[in-house]
Amino acid sequence: MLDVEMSSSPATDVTRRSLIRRVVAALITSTLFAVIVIGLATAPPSGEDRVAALAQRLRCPVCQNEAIADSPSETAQQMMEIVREKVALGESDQMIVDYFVARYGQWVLLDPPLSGWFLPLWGLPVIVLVLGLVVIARRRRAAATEDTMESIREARPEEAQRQAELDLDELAAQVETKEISADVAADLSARYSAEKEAAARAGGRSNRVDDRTTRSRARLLTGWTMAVLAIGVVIVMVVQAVEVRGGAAATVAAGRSLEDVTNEEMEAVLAENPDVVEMREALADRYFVESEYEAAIPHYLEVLQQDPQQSSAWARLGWSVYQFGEVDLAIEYVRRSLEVEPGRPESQLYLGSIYLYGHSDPQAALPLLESVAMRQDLPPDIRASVEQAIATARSAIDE
Amino acid sequence: MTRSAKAGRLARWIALVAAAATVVVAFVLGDRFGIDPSQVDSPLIGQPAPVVSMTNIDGSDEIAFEDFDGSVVVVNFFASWCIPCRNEHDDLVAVQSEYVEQGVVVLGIVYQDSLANVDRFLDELGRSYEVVLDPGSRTAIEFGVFGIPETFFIDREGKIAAKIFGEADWESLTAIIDPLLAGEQPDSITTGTVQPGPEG
Repeated sequence: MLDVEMSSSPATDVTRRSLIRRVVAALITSTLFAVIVIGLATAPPSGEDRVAALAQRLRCPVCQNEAIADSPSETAQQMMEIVREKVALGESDQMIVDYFVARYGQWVLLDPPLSGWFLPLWGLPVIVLVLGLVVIARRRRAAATEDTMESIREARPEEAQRQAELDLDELAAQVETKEISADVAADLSARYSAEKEAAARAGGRSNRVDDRTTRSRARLLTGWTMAVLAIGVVIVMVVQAVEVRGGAAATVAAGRSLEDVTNEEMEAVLAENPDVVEMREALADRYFVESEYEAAIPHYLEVLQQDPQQSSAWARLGWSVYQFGEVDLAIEYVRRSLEVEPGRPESQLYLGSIYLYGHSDPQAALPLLESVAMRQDLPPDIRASVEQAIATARSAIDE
Repeated sequence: MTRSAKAGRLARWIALVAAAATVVVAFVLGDRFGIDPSQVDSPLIGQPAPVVSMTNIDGSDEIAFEDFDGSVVVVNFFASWCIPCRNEHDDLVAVQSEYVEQGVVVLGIVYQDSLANVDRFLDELGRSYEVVLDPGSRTAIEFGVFGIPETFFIDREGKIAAKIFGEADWESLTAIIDPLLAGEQPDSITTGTVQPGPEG
């Protein structure tokens, strides 16, 4: 190798300028890549995205190797419905997958398992990526060698020419001793000859040298861009895989059971998904049980708009409006509940109480209250108030 | 130069093999690992019966599994379009009448069929035990049903104890019910295939 002094010659300026250009290009590409990857990785998937993704991972149990997303069968459609409900309720992907695995077994998942034989499968893209990087690194070294050769050529063309001649001689010797095969030798020989010619012509900037430099630089840039994009893809895949496997810190969608969900969160979910009737009724029931009747009423009304057969909603709506003194309206609502479901104990209790205390009508109240009292499964506090009410009604009638 | 040329060729070979392997794997994955469900034990064995509310076919009653606490429940998924279901019906009726005193309850659950068809089915083959509807197959999914006929057995503590995959008969039914009544753990049985839907 020749020792070259890097003095402030045109050759050094060229080298410096090309270095700056390379660095800037790499910076721009890296920034773009960072923006894209971070954007993709941190954006929480929308509800529909999650439903679609889960539907592609779950197998239709009554079909031949189809995902529930692709099957028109009733079972598959019902499973989709269940997935939608659970996503709306805030359950994590892992919880939803576990629900089906608990009923159908691991088989219901279309993913290859993350264990044993199949681990190499998951590793394959990474292996290919690493190999790609190796190839690029090799190219880079070759390009660097060319750049060094170029700067030598520019600075000391006579030295470069002599070096090329020496290399050719060495090559001939290596072919003699069979150290190098014929085709590799031909390849190298062509290279050294070209080098010799280029050096002979050196003195100013020759187009051929420029072309080769530009080409190698373009190749380098392409290589880098591809590597960077490949890395981006791998990162996105890893993030998604970790999230999907329920990895501890990396999950995007937090998983909880319904008990941990607050009323505010349910309100927010319902704002996005106004048609999830069961959830709306569950929220209304929560408010009702907490005696927040004013909050419960609009939700019960909405539930009954969508499903007028909900006897529980009618009864509780009635009891809620009764709290605000709307006796007649309350009676109408609770009666509706008993129309939908005759003999429903909670409804009878409400109606009896409203007749007795709200309408001062013990005669109407008594049969309802007595019907409730006949049930075996009343909790003690309810039983106490029922019996109290019956006593009140009876004494009122006797007066 | 020599060594790096050889190393370059090696890297290229590895890349080629990896690419070929990827193609092979893609083929295998595309086939998506079909498994025969009849050879796989239900993961629900030992789990409590699902919490569901079912309506009987004349609409007069709501039934939940907790209503049967203390009894052995034979849960049979069936439909009018299922031939083995027709074959096993008599034996299910016989089990109900023979075992009712020992605290065994048979419950039929309609699988993807219309009320009219089921009524005709029962008119023809005889009514005895309670039959409930399952609109949208929600209860079937809760039981991990692959097709019909499938018969599940719930023990006195409300846990799913065993399952018959395929057509049942007196022998297979009693082979599970008798141990359950004696407080023992029976094995699940696969007798044949199940039909996933009316088209087959």
